[in-house]
Amino acid sequence: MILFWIVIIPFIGAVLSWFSAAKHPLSARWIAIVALGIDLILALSLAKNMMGPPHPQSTASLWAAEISWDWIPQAGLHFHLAIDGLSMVLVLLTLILGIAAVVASWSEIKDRLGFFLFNLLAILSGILGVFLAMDLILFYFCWELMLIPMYFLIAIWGHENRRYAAMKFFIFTQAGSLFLLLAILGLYFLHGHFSGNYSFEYQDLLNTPNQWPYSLLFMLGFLIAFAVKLPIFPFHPWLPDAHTEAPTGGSIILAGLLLKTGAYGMLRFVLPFFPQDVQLMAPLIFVLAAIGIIYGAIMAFAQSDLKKLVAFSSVSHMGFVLLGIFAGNEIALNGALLQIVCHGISTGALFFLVGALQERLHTRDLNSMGGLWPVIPRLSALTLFFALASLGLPGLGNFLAEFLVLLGSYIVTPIITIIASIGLVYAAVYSLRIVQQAFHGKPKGTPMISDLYNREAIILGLLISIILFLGVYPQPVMNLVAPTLQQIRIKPVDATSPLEPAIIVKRDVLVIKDHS
Amino acid sequence: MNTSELFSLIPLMMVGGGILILIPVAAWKRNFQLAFAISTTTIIFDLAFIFIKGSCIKVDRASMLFKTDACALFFIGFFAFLALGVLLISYEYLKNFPGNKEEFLILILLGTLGGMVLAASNHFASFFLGLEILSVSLYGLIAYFGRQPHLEAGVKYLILASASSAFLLFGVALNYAQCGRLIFSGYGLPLIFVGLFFKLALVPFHLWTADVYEGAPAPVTAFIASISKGAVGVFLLRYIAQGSMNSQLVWITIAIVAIASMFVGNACALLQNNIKRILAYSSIAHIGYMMVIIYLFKNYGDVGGIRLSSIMFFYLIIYTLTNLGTFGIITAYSRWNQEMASLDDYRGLYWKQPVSAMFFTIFLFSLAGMPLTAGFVGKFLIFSAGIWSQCWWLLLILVVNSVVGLYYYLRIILTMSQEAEGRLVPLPVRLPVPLLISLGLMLSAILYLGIRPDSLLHWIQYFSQSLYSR
Repeated sequence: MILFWIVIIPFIGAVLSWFSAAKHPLSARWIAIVALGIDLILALSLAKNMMGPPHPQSTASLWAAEISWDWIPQAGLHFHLAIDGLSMVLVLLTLILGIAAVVASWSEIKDRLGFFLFNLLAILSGILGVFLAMDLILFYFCWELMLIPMYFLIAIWGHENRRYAAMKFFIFTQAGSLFLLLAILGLYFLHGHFSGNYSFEYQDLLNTPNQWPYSLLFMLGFLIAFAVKLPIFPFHPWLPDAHTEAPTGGSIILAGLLLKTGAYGMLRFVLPFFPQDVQLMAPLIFVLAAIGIIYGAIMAFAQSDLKKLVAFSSVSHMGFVLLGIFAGNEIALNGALLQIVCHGISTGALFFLVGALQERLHTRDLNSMGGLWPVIPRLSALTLFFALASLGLPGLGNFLAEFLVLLGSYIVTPIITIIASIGLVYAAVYSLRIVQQAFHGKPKGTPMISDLYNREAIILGLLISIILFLGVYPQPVMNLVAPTLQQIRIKPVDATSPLEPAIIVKRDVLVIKDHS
Repeated sequence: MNTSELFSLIPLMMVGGGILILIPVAAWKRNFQLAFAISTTTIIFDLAFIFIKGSCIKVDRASMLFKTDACALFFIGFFAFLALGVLLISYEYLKNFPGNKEEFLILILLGTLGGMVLAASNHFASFFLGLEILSVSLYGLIAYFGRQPHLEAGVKYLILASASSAFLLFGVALNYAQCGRLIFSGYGLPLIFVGLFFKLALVPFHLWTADVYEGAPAPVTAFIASISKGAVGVFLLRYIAQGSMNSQLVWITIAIVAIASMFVGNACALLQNNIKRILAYSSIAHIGYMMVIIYLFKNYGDVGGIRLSSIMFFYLIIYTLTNLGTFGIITAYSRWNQEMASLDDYRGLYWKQPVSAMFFTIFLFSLAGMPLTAGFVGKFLIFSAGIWSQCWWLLLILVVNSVVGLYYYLRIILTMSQEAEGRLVPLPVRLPVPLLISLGLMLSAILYLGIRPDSLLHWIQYFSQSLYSR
């Protein structure tokens, strides 16, 4: 039951803040915050149970909590939500970034605040549903439901070119989703044909027999949908536009959460459903990941629009996630997951800061900024911190994440890994460019502007502490996701494969040790 | 004809009776409220009869001409429901018309009767009768207000529909020449298909659609898009279930028509700036999607046929419901002397009329096939039928078209969310109650079917079987 509440509370908050916004704008914002806060507390209490003493390897299910109600039983449809470590980490990320998004739009959004908050919280509800749904059609429902409010968010409150961006975003993602729907249906019929049990349940479909030409087709269907969201290199053109044109709160959610649903889908569905085909496709994906890393980084460096810069850096960082996921061993998967969390937070925070800058300067153009540090020291220092996080400074979560991804993927594909690691150098170049051009150098007729407000500083402080914590002691998160990653990692085809022993040896060497 | 057969025809006769009451009432004393009350009560009584006494109708076949099986009864009821919707949305539209208003209602009831006859017809005589009742009342309805765009659309429809009826009759004659009877068979099928495809507005018989949709008064467009299309669609399925289509050429034709309709409909809709025209082209595309289902009949006998028929029926039902809703919104802002159909007219609707903008958005999302709306379930079912039949290339075309279709639906929604500067047409401050009831009915049906489609699907599956019982 608690899972149902986790999904539905943001939506209740959405409706409440919509209705209260007309009379009391401030209370509407607080309702949004409180709703997300309650949700966060619920999720944390659940997480606390999961973090408890590791219970002996019980044969019981993986899920820490689960609900399953009949929806259309004849068709094998259930309202089935369940949570494991992987989902839990992402749920927590969602709620924290959700609060950040509400705070970020505190003074930015004044028009039609009620509808804005409604959309914002409805997206969060959809995203939570995506992370918790264990019935594939329910998953698809939530997958689509986060799309529509996001579309409104960009189309109504976005910047200059918002209509174009919103349209592009919707059409790209929806095109991907239709392939996802086809693939889900295909899997459903394939599984039903062999087992006689027509069902959309995740656990049932896991045992679908591997029918070669079909499984490859269905995998491509899943992959295309997730590739658009993640995004993988040729499917990315919607991203820079959508991120740039969205209002700050929207950008935070887009970069911090929506992209992660793609990664989550790959972890949750693509790897476990189609282990053989994943290995077949892996070489191609590795190449695309490497292209994405380098291309995103170069494009980021070429931008003078701050938001676009951060947006392209996301393309680059998501390349690491992709590399980690398809490398498929535990180290790489751990790295990918950490990258998901850390990128979500650091890029969310960067968008937050860029939004704050834009609100003050009314421009996002790097060329018209300069020498801002003495004027707004708090904002500048925080931007420096997150820029450093983004470039992967050791000691911060992002470094560990990218390091683990590279370590894990080196075993599988050394050459690609070497190319990918060039991306780290580029990351330093574009990240430092933000700090250098905006905050150092000669001031360019900067008007008197206010520094970060307390509410902004508090939420950013929270994000900083998470990044620091993950950089120094990521073990709790890794423990949380370990059972799930164990299950979904790509198992070598045969025992004689050199893959497995190598991982084991490396794991002993690694710092990731349990309570020792 | 015995009493039980007569009893089974009551749903049809009630509508006819309503018309017979309305005509002298209109002749004796013109009173729009009274006429409106009579026509709505007729429809409601008809609905209530089918609801309450429908299960008492035991005969499958009333005389040679009509089938009164579960399928026919359901659609008679469904068309009555749609007619109620059309009547309710046209109340405000008509109210200020200075000329005679009562005949409009009579024509709508007459057209509905034609649709009901089509749904129940089991014989070419009743089929042709139903089709002509439907068409003739449409000629009158389209041109009813006697103004420029209406007249032009009316004449266009008259000429083209008569031509298509001629083809149809020729097909029926060929059928008669072969069988010596007017029962459904495969003879003359291409010519009969020409007539049906014309009514359904499939490429290449679609040329009338956009002009007529645009020119016709908004409630009449709603009627064409819902009852007229729906009735012909139901008949098509009945015909396919009964007639034998064993020629390979027919299937190839259907596939070509389906693909062409999807592409032409969606491509042309992209270029329009008039909402009615956009919806007209989108309807071509939607009927194209339905033809994909028809094409899938190719590989299956009766068992698969039942399954595919129920999918087609479901799609038809939700499609007509949604269309009625969308045109209901357009009707809300149009009057007999002024159609508000340009895209620009809807600029800023979100901020001026949030309720109706919400309605419109949900209807459009249903047409686009987004989850939580019935449109999604329809698309879902078509996809599942395609995968079930492993018809990958057709599915790919369907996906491509769905994505193209998104663009123009989103465009309407985007326009509504824009700021409005200096609008010309004044919006009504609040929606009239009858219209709101009608829209509310459609909206709740669409949302309910989007979340719990199983109850309706169950029914449809049940009566689809009756389609195949010979």
